[in-house]
Amino acid sequence: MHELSLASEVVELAAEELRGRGLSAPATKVTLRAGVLLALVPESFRFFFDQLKADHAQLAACELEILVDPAEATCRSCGATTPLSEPVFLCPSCGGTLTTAGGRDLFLQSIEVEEA
Amino acid sequence: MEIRVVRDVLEKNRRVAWKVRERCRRDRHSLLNLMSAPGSGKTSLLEKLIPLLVARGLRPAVIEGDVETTNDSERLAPLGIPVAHVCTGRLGGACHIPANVILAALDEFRPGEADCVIIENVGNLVCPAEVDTGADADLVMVSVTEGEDKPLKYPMAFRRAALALVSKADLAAAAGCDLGLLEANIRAVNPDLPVLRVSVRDGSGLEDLAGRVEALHRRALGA
Repeated sequence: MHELSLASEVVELAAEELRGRGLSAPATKVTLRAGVLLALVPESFRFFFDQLKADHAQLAACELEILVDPAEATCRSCGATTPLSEPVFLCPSCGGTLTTAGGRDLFLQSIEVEEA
Repeated sequence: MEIRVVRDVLEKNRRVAWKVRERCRRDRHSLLNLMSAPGSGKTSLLEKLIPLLVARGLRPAVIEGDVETTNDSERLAPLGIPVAHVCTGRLGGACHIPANVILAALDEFRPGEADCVIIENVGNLVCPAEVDTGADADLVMVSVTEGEDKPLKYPMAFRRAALALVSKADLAAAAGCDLGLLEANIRAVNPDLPVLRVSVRDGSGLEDLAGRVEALHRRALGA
């Protein structure tokens, strides 16, 4: 459900970046990096993004790429470090509890625009 | 041509959340955020908790978030405390309360009339967990009728919380809820999170909760 408000932020931020750089060519692709712990549902995010991008002529035809950033987990029992690729919080080696770092951010990574 | 941006999409809300915190310190009140699924008993809990906080000498106020209707605010009216109502349906059907709305809601209180402001967030365990309200501490609640696996399904709300409540604890047997398993699942996603069982029907855990809320309030004020 949080996909709507996040998609709205992404579209506004992308439009602002293009404006701020004085770019008027149409964008062809917007790339995001989403932390795994945000539990973003890509289908839902894409649906909202496609609805909202229509408000900005420059973004109206661009595609969306979502890269998932893992979180890093450290086991409190055995000390093993593993990248977390899904929101599960038990050590894969010993079943102990994990302390996690990262994986909670959403970055607008890059925008591709047509060559002038 | 590829333009590297690398900009935090949540930065705007984060900035406003820090404005909320600065404002709370200026106005010398704490701000606590109560999150749970719909129907787990947030409003019922506040109806019982608020008088206990008043008895401890606190001056509570509530920011009441609802997608639609003012029913919950009306339920709190007999308590005689300040209540600011936020109907998120008018903000585009939002399923959480972003920090800029909290900032506006705080304007509805008269200066100095409250020293402990509690946000009753929109009933939802997903979105409120992602969006910083600017609160000093988050409380997450799960009722025994929701199923023991909820902490595993909605881990983020439990990861950011300072206190977890298991509500309707008196109904555990009737609901077939294994309290031990539910609490083990809470610890699996956040081993440091204190867990408290409460029931607004038989009153169990409420005095303990009031004490913990007072402690979170004092910590926020640095007292």
